[in-house]
Amino acid sequence: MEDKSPRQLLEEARAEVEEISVDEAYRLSLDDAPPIFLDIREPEQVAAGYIKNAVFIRGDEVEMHARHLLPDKEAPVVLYCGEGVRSLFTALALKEMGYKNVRALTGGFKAWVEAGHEIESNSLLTREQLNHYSRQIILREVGIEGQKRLLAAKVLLVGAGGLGSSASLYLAASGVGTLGIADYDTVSASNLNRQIIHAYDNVGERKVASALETLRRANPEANLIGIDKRITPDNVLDILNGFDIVLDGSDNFATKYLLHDACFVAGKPYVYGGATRFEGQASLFYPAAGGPCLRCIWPTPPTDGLVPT
Amino acid sequence: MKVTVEFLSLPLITQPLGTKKIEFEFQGSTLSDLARELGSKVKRAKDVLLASDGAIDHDIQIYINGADQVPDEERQSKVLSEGDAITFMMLVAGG
Repeated sequence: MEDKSPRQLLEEARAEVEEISVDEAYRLSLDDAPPIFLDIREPEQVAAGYIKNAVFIRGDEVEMHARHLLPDKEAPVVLYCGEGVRSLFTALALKEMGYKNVRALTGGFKAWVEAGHEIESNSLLTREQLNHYSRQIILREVGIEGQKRLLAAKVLLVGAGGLGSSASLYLAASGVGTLGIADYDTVSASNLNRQIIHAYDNVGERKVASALETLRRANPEANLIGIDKRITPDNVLDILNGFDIVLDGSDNFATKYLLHDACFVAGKPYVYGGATRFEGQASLFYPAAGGPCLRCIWPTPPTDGLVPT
Repeated sequence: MKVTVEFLSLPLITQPLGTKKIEFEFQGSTLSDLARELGSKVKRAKDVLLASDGAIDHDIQIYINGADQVPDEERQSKVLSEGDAITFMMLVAGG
């Protein structure tokens, strides 16, 4: 069989795929239930501007992630690329996967801009950021707006132990812009089975220094703040100052209640974390937003010794 | 009355017991009756669940059928029904 020319392939795709004009797509975008705009351009193009509320996925990855990105095969989707060619092929591929309501934007993003329709003109994300965070930006629950919020977030994590190790690595890797790590301990070999932010090289080092070293490798652009201090009633409010939220991975009730009470006073959300053996507890306490506080449930710290840590 | 009892984050009870959830038959009808009988029949339950005056210890939270915690004023007197699922839970501090 003779190979088809690019022009022939394009004609075939055009014959199969329904296209939508930028004006019609714009009108639909204003509906209460707008279609999903799927942006299949490269990260550097997205960084320069995109259609508001679009979902991003590189064209060559659409088929791989379609089931997650577009769980409803009946849902209306408008695919767009730079100039309206690649989107035809991607739309055709989706159609062959059983998607019933996929259209390609005629003329692509370029035509949308030329028609004067609204765009988000500055994602504030660099090409490298769009690449690093691409797997969560494609989640509709996150998107570029969510990523920007993460980058602007200031999180204080107390405890570079078992809970803090996992939490801090994920927070830094996912792009939390400012991450404070507070601890007042040194790394011992018996920590290493679970405190995965530390390694053998770090045994004997301060936990904060060890944690910062690992976190810097996980995400060099994160603003990391080490707090190598014991948290006391005298310094807790100063330590909290400048952070939006506190994640508590400390290992004792006295610190937990102190942090909780300080967050209560400062009106900041407090995330409780506790683990013992194979059980764990996590909860958000944010009375300033209308919820209960920890003391509404456990008015005083439980008696030491009843619960092994 | 027969109920299901679950112990969450209470390893002092669950470790010797070998399970977190048991079917438990007791005499009486209230939470207090249940706790007292657990205290006499389940190893370590007396130390963990009951305060020195015999009342259910305030460190323990109680949930019935997965609903919101039992309020303070009902902790002892709350009347249970056959087949209820009662959860006793402790706050955990480990980091």
